[in-house]
Amino acid sequence: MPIEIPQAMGASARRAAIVLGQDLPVWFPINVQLAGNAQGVKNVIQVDNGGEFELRSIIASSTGLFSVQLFNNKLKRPLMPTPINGENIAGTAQQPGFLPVPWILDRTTILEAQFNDRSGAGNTIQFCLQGYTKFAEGLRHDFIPNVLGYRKAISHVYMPNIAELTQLDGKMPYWWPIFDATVPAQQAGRNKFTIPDGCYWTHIVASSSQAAGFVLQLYDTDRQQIFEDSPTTVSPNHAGSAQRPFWLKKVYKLPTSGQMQCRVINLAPAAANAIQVVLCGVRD
Amino acid sequence: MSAQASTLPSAAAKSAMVLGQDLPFWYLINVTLTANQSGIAGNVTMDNDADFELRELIATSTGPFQIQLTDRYTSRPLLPTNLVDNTGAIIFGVNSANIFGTAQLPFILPIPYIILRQATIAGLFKDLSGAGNTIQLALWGYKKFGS
Repeated sequence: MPIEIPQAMGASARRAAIVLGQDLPVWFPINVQLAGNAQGVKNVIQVDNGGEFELRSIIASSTGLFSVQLFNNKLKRPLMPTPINGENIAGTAQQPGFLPVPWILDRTTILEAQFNDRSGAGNTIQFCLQGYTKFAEGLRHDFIPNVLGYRKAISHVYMPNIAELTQLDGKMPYWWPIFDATVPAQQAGRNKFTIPDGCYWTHIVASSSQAAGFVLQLYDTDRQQIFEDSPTTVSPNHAGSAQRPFWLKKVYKLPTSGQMQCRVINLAPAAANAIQVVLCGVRD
Repeated sequence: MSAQASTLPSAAAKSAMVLGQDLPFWYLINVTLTANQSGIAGNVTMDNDADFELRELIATSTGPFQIQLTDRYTSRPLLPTNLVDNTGAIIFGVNSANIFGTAQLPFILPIPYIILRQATIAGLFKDLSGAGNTIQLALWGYKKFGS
C-alpha cells in the first residue's frame, strides 16, 4: 500500500515544508513526427537538475503504429536490444505500461528514444515517461508498488509479491523481444536469445497483426523445461499488452548464460502475421 | 464490527469520528476551447478548510487536447517546459490521453500528492481537435480532516 503522507500538520511552516519536500508527479513527454516508414528518428529528454526522476510507467499516444528503442545516455546502455512495438511498451493514462519496479534516473540524465514508423503514413507520437521528481529525501528508497488501474486494491494479487519486487529495486528495466518477425499463414517461427547474468522476468506482452493471433511455446535451456505441454496456448492466454500485461506471480530469474527459446505458430489461415513477443523485467 | 461499535459509546463520539474523517472530494476545472485555441487558462483553488490529497486524475472532453499543469504554491510545473520535438517545434504540454483517465479507469498516482489549502492548481489548455472542445478535469482525492 502507498505510504501515507503524515496527516499531523499542525503549523503552517511545517505543512509547507512537507508539501515542498514531497515527491512531485511529473510527465516527461518525448514528441516526434515521423514520415511514413521513417526509421531511427531520435529525440531526447533530460532529467531536471532539481531532483532525481523515479520512472514508474510509460504512456503514449500516436496516430499510427510505431516501435521504439530506449537508451540511457548517462549509463550508455540500451533498455532493450532491438526496438519494441509501442503497444508492447506503452499504455495509456487509463492503463499505463508499468515498470515492475520504479527506476531512478539521476538528475541531468539524458534518455534517448529512437522511433520507427510501422503505419506507412505520417505518424505523430507523444511518448511520455511518467513518474516522480524525488524531493522526499526520507522516502527515496522506500518501495511503493504501483496500482493497476483495472485491479485497484487487489493489484497485489496479480503481481509478484512486494517482498520479491523489493529485491529488484534499483535494477534497470529491460525488455527482451524473444520473437519479432512476420510468419507466413499457418507456419511456425522460432527464435532464441542468450541471457547474461542478473536478468529477471516479471511479465510478458505480445502483439499480432492478425486477429487470429498465434500460439506460443517457451523453453528454458538451462533448466531444460518447456513452459507449455503442447503448442496450443493461444496468445491471449499467454501474453497481455503494455496496458494489461500478463504478470508472473513469482519473479522468474532467467537462465544465466543459458537460452530462452521461443516457437510461435501463426493461426491466421491465409495471411502473414507480424508477431512480437516480449519478456519484460529488470537486469543488473 | 462489534469491536468498532464498542469504541463509540456516545453519539457525540460517533459524530466526531464522522466529521473528522477524510472527505472524498472532486476539484473541477471547466474550460471551453474554440477550434485550435491555445494558452487558455483554467484554475482551481483549494478550499481553506483542509489540505487536499490528490490521488487520481480524471477528465472528459469533446475532443483531444494538451495541458500544462502547475502547482502555483510550489511554482513547480508537472512537466518540463522547454521541450521540443524532432522538428524543433516546442511541445505545449501533455496529451489528454496520456495524463487523464475516466472514473472507471482513472490515472492513479501511486504516491498521493498533497496540495495545501488555498493553493491553486493552474492549467493551460490547447485544443487538438480542430473543433470546439468542452473540457472538464477532475482532481480526485481527499480533503484531509483526519488526524
